[in-house]
Amino acid sequence: MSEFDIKYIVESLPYIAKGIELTIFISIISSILAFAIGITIAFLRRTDIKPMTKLMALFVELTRNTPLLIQLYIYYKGLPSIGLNLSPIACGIISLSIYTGVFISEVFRAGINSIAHEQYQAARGLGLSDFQTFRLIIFPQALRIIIPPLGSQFINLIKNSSLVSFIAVTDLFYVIYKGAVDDFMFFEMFITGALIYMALTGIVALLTNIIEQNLKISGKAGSI
Amino acid sequence: MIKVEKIYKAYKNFDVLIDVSAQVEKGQIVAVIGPSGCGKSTFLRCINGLEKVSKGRIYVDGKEVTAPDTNLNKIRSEVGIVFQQFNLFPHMSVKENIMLAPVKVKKISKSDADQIAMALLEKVGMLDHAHKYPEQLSGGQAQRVAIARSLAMEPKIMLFDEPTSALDPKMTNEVLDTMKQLAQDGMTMIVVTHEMSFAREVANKIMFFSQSRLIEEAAPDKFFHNPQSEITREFLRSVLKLEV
Ligand SMILES: Nc1ncnc2c1ncn2[C@@H]1O[C@H](COP(=O)(O)OP(=O)(O)OP(=O)(O)O)[C@@H](O)[C@H]1O
Ligand SMILES: [Mg+2]
Repeated sequence: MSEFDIKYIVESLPYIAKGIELTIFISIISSILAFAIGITIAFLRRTDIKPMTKLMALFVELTRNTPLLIQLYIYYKGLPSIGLNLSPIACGIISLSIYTGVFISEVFRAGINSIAHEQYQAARGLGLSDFQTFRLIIFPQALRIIIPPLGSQFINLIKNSSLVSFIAVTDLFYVIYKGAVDDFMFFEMFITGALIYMALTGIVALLTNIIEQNLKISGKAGSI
Repeated sequence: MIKVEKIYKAYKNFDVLIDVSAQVEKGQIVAVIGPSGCGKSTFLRCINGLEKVSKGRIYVDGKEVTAPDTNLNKIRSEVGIVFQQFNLFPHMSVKENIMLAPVKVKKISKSDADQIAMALLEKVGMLDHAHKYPEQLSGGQAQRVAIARSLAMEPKIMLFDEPTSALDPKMTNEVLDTMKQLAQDGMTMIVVTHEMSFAREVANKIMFFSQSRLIEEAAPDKFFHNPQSEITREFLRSVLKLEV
């Protein structure tokens, strides 16, 4: 085994940067969509429309308990067969958003359930609608509790985004892997790749901490 | 003002309210008493539709709460409810707690709601605490804010579910004073309470529940001195040590 070739990495940087860019792009868009999907599923699951809650529960179970890679291929190969021809990047974003969204919905559900039922009754007792109660009373309190687990989901999303390389999306993992295989630079590329992923997830962890500090709840949720 | 017709309420196969009928007139102060678990809170929450009855009808100010097409949010905005545990919203300041429903339900302007909030805080003696958060208040203060929060919707009826049970005697008096003032202002009130002094002095009707049934309804004087039901007499003897 030859020694670690720094020069190779430096020369590959412009090429790696393209992959970083795409990974960041996919991660940001997917995070936003996953957040929206997560809230929506969590909200729908606490309505009293039975078929809706059943359907959502089934969808959550299916998505949570199958590999993301399989879901990725199902969207990639399945969507064209129903007439939806999307780019591989779009397919990657869709599967990542749905997969992470489902996990986020569970995080939300736990957060919502931790808010005392009395808060709900007090809000409804004042004449607020179910949706207003969710938006103004339950959700803001739940959000404060779920920031840390929510951060972990976004970190998972960044790591999971490497799977999109399987459907030929030239993300960070793809460029790393290609360099490693084509130029026999395994160590150089995989260690560099690992460090870059760590930096990206590190930023999310830092942001999570900052947001958590700033949202410090004034009062014990639900007790007063 | 309130008419309850033969309501039943069951959870699974457990009866919480059985065949309860009652009537409350405008301006009346009703004290609801009875042993723990007899259905007092459930009765109260059925009146503003926070719980659905299994059977029977409830009318508030001529509108049927129990009809499937009733706008419950509208009725709830006209019937205030105050809970034992205050249930203030911890992520909002005292003033925001009070302004929330007028702004979001009645759609009045923030500046109008602000004025209403300040006037009500003055009324309940909490003007200096407008910008505090609920966790910074004592129990008595929190409960007075909760009362002000309900009053901000200008309700026609106020429901109280053991408003002083979580409070020490001094704080209990603060809250009872606020409630007495409300009674003097002519508010229609239904108060679930263990405070027999309040029931005696302020209420003009007592409703006594036991084992899911409304056992007796009477003016306080009659209720405490000449109860009709043997169950009531037993309760007064054992719980209140009265000789009846
Ligand atoms: N959501 C629920 N599911 C099942 N049972 C319930 C529910 N809410 C109340 N109950 C039961 O209904 C009965 C009456 O409850 P309720 O809270 O109305 O009594 P209460 O008279 O207010 O008692 P307390 O004086 O202890 O407050 C109790 O036995 C209680 O366990
Ligand atoms: Mg009760």
